[in-house]
Amino acid sequence: MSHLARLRETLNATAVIGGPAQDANPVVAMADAINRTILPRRLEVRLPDGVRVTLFLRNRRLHRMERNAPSTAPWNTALSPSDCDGVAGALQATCPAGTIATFHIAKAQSDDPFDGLGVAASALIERLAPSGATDACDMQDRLVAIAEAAPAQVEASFAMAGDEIAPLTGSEATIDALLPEITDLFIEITEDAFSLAGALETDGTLVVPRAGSSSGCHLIVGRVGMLGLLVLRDTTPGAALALWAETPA
Amino acid sequence: MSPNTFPDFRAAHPDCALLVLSDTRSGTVLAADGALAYPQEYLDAISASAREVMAGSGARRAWALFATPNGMRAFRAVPHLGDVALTCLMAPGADIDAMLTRLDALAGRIEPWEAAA
Repeated sequence: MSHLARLRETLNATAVIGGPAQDANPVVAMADAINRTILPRRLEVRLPDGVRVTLFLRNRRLHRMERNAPSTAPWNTALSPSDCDGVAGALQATCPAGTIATFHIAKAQSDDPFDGLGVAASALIERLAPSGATDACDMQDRLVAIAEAAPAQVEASFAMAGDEIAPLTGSEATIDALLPEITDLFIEITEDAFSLAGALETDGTLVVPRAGSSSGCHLIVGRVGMLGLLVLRDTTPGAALALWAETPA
Repeated sequence: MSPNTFPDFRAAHPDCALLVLSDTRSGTVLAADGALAYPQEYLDAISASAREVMAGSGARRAWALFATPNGMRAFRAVPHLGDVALTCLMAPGADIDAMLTRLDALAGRIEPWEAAA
């Protein structure tokens, strides 16, 4: 999708006030709306049977969902990443495919509940329309391909899934030397409160300087449930971004 | 630094769509200037990101870059002021290395009393 097309869709998504969902499956449309929402927002979905669903969104995450009908968890409770399956199932049961839903997006109120870590939009989309988990494999292959193509720049590469950090490329001595710094960095960017985590899980790229180096940097990319990292020497931030962007996915 | 410093910087470097000066200890917006009138909550979100990226887990970084297909954020520390950083929002494809150099020069023109004001 071109930048202009993405911008147009984003503006359209945030401008839809009281309009019908553009997607035949309202749950997919909801996940798409979550994926485009950074600031605190409440998304109200009205269904033909009178049911009204309210989603509390922030940082591309669904923090809570409520509806005006008797409900049990995951409704009306703070959500965490482990609720993803339950959330997808509950939304699909409430809004089956083919339902014509009306969306209303509004600013969140100061007392709206954003008390849980929330479910990442990318994880929800993966549950609703599985991509076959190829994204994670593609990301690792891409990191390894870059490391092999530019050995003068790439000192090592790592992947993190869950709590496990695995080296992908690099000599044993290099990996041992880098692991403490890499571990701290992974812990930092996977903290609950890290506001860029949602974007990192989809299409974001973070570049930060290496500790104790004036000319090296770390490039961090992500996919659902996984982060990848390149340790680069003598590379500017712009060159690091270009290195990632110019390697075919 | 005068009241026109940020607008002049953006006029000289149109790649910079929004410039924010933040206290990275508290995540507070100290000053901002943009091509559009951004809502305060958006500026607050940018300052919160600056706090996390530049001072996360006790690490104090000189710079950081966050890129998505929709745009880039360049973060640059203002070291002589302590926990203060500049954030510049740019379109995709902008020259990030040049912008970091320009932000470094701009940071050197910000006096301590201005950040504290």
